[in-house]
Amino acid sequence: MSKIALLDSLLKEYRKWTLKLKSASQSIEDNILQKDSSAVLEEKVVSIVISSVRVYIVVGIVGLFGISVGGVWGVIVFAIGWVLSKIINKKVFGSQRAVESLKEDEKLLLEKLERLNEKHEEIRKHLGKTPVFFTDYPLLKREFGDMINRLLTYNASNLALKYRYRHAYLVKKYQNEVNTFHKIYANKKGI
Amino acid sequence: MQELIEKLKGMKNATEAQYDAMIESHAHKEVIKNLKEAGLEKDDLSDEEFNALLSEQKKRANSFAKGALGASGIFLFLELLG
Repeated sequence: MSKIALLDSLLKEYRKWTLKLKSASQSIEDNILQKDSSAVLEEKVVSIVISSVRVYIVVGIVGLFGISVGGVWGVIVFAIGWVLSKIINKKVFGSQRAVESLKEDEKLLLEKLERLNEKHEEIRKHLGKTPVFFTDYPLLKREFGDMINRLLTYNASNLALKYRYRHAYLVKKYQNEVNTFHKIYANKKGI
Repeated sequence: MQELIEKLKGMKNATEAQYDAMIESHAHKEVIKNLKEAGLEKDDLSDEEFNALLSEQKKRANSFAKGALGASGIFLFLELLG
């Protein structure tokens, strides 16, 4: 492949990559803000299951003593199960977090993620207008190194269990995008 | 995204398939818009790459729509769409 064709192909790959980077960053941000609305329904299903199981267990145990529980008592047992399940759900699914309620290091992390995206969108915007000299690579590489470090050392215990475990997966995905960046921007093979 | 919410709210008595089609169409438009902003066209991407972006966008639109429409109960239909 000629050098010009190679450059054109790398520039196109870079344009595509900026979209993937943005998507990976957005996923991390949504996860830190616990923005998964599908959890609302999951939560309700878990509440009903826990409450029902509790009713069966209590009715079963009391039934061993020859006492039949039903009617109002059944409803009360179900209500107690419902309240308990809410407490469990809070721990597992959490609730959406407002940016203002985040800790300072979390705010800084999201701000840096956003800034890094904007930086690459800015580079993308000027592709074709100005020649690409790739002289910024050491700086961009260092910025990504710093970001990965921040993401890996992020204290995920601030998050509900569901989001805590997902964070590690999303960071891995982000790392893959950073590796793709090295392949494209520095035309490195086999990273 | 607000435009999508308004459209979904206006779809009274719509079927699950119609909600799905509306979200899919919105996600498709968003991906094309993002590609244009990046100086790309759909043909610049392989089917696999395009579908990955579309799927991610659809997931986000679905989640957002469910959150925004949760109070009105429409999200129950959306949940069934997966």
